[in-house]
Amino acid sequence: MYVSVKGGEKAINNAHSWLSEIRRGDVNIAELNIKQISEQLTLSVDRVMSEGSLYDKDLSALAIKQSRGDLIEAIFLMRAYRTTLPRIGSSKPIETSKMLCLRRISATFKDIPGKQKLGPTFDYTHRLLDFKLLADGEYEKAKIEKYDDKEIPHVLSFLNKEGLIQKEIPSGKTSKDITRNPINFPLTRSERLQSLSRGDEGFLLGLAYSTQRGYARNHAFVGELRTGYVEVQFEIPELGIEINIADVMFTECESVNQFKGSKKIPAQFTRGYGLVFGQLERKAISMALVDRSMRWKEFGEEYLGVAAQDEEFVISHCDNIQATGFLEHIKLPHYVDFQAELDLVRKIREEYNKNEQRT
Amino acid sequence: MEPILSVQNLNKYYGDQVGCKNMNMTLYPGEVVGVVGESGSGKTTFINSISGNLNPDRGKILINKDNEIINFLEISESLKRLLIRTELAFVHQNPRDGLRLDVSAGGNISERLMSIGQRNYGKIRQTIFKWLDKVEIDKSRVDDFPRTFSGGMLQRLQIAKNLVTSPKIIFMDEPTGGLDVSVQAKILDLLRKLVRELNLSVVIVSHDLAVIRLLADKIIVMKNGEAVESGLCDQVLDDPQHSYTQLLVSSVLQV
Amino acid sequence: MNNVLKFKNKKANVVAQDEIYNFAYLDENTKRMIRRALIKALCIPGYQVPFSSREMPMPYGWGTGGVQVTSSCLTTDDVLKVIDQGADDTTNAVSIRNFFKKTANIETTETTGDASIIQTRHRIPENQLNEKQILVYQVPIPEPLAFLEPRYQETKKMHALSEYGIMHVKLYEDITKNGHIETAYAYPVKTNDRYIMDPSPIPKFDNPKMNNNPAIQLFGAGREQRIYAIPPYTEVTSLDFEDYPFDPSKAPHKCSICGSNDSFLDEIITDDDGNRSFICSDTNYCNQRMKDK
Repeated sequence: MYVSVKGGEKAINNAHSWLSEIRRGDVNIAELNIKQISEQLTLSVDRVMSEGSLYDKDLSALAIKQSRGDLIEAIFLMRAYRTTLPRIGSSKPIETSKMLCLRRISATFKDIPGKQKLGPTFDYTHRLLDFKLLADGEYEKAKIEKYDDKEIPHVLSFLNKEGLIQKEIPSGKTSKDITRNPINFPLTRSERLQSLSRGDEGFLLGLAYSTQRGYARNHAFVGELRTGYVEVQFEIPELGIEINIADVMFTECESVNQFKGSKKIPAQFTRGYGLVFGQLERKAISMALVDRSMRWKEFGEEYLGVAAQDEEFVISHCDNIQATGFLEHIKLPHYVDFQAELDLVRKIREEYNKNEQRT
Repeated sequence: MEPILSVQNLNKYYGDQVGCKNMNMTLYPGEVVGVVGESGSGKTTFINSISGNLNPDRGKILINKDNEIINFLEISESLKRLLIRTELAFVHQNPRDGLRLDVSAGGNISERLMSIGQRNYGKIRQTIFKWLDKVEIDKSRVDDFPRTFSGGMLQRLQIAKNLVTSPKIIFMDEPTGGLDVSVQAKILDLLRKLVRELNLSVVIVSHDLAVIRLLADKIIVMKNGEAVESGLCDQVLDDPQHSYTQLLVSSVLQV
Repeated sequence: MNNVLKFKNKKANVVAQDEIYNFAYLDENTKRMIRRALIKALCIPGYQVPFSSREMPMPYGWGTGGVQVTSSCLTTDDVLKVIDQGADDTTNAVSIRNFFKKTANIETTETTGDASIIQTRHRIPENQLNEKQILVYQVPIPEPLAFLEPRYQETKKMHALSEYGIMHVKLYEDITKNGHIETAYAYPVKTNDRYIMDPSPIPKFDNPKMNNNPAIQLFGAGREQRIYAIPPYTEVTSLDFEDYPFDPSKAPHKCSICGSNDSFLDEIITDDDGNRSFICSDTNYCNQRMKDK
């Protein structure tokens, strides 16, 4: 009698032990600890916090360690953990104008109140492998005062005063948390921005790039890009007081885009917005460009039928956890579906052959 | 006899720009009304507004469905869409706008039949063949995809797709617009034949007076979003009163 | 998944996680939200109710929708059966069953008749279900019109206005091309004579079992954030033409283990020459028949 071989619990457990062993690697090499990751792989940690939408450096580092450095897997671990956390309430909206900036640049004005501040950036380095890092220990110390502790106004607020840039009018509504409420197309801008902020960096980078290359071109400049710490304030209703619950690092990008005018409104610049946890400039800029290209309706622009303009397309596909899950699920057994198709194909071929013989 | 479609004081604006304004029209069963005007005159806005493709800002559209008067702009979206796929038909200038290009010719013709509940494949096939015949497409092309069809054949296919459920009112927007002159003539012949044979009620928009003269019983001349003259087709074209109509008529005659 | 739940790291000061999760993993508020969606879905058979799907510790596409529905329905008295492709011991089934064993500490079974909740991927058990049972389907793409029209904004309208002509165009095209309706699984159905519904990727062989079934049938699509349902004893018809009626056909073989002639079969390649044999896809059904002999 034939005994069928199928998955089986034992095989799964064995696979898991093997994973555990291979994660550890050569035991003669010291094991990574969480602090090493959170202190030295900060940009990985930032990305996992940002797309995992949970601000906790240690957990992010743990996720990176557990996932063998696979950042999407790490983001997934963070998301799954985040689901289970109770919601105590919402913070007050953060004031990014009160950010303690470690970096703040503008590509639109050379001299700006509060000054350009380059901060720790790869931008001007030569991308040469630094073999000194192969050895231990050596590093240069920063030579400047790290944080300005005074408020730096947003660059775009200067244009705003002149009416040269389109005004963002507060909707006055509280944003709906997209992780607690189902989204329904068409979305509000708040829902869109939330989705983009959690969206996959690579996907958004590609889309933003496509707008620069002419697929719904919208002429973007970085009006302002800033990275730094912002206080998160929480109001305790029972006590009627506000407390500062965390200092969180954000990167914010405001893009200045192609102006648009009509008979009623004189020519004006428009804007896109990006905001992410940590120092993730590429992501913040991409987000701003994609946000802007999805606002075509609001600005009375033409729909050119390209991906970056299509809200339902962008938002339905930007989440890497949804995407990778569905993509990888085709590894799961599909015996039944395949079998059903196999039967049908055989039947059709049989009939075809019968007909062939007849004619 | 009651009109099958009556449009009263219809207005459509784009922002503060006029699309069409103060438009009136009555269409009796078996009648063809032609709307002429140069591009930008508002004729396409007008036909889109009365066929459910655009939402007009003001006015009334009354449709007589089996002696029941339906106020087209005030009914529910679901009833409206039901009417659009049963009582009304729209023939686009570009047949690609009115066809599913990834569905066979027969499949295209079948859609309206199935959306009103026909569920017999054999009978549906028969109806498809009947209509291919009527619009003079060879039956052997029934399972071919529209992309393999010429411009004239595509337009015939679109006409068949629209007429298969015997809609009461047919809207046509420049149905011969994108075609070669020789092909145009054939499509016009076909349309004239179908109009007579099936006693169709048609609103047709064209910039081409020859098309309107050939098909229409009544005519509306539009300029800058308004009707400048209307009446019986022969009367208006033989004895135009408005200076713009005179210009239109004379410019055609000079050719 | 074991790793997610068991992993402890004292250095990082992360608490052991088994104890901190609620019964059946999801918190009570989330379960309540899902139960509300389920009730709405049962009231409007076949209608897709949007719900705020949570991120689960297994990937999207691996049954997160079904797991959330099961989690929301589970009580401590429930007996759970999980099948994937009809079998209790395929990877996905094992993984989900262990997940609930761990997080809900409930009794599990492989016997269809003993289960009060059955979570399934791609099959309906061969044995007739009863009024005390709930069948939970894992759904990858809940929208039956998705492959004809990818935008939810459009398909929502088509459902609302029963504009289903295009669905039959697809069937028309199939018959025209091949003389058959080409859909072998996820064969669309009409529920309670109103909504066209995707039955999840079950083989069309299983479609007739949905009709007038005494059990509650619940469908969860996690990634797409949709829940839908078929209440007990509801009419479910597979779309077809009068002259091309729906045919739930199966391979013309019998199971080479239990000899069953009327169960859905998996095809197995038995040697390098490509010789084939067929066995029941529903392993519990097959085992029971062997025991009864």
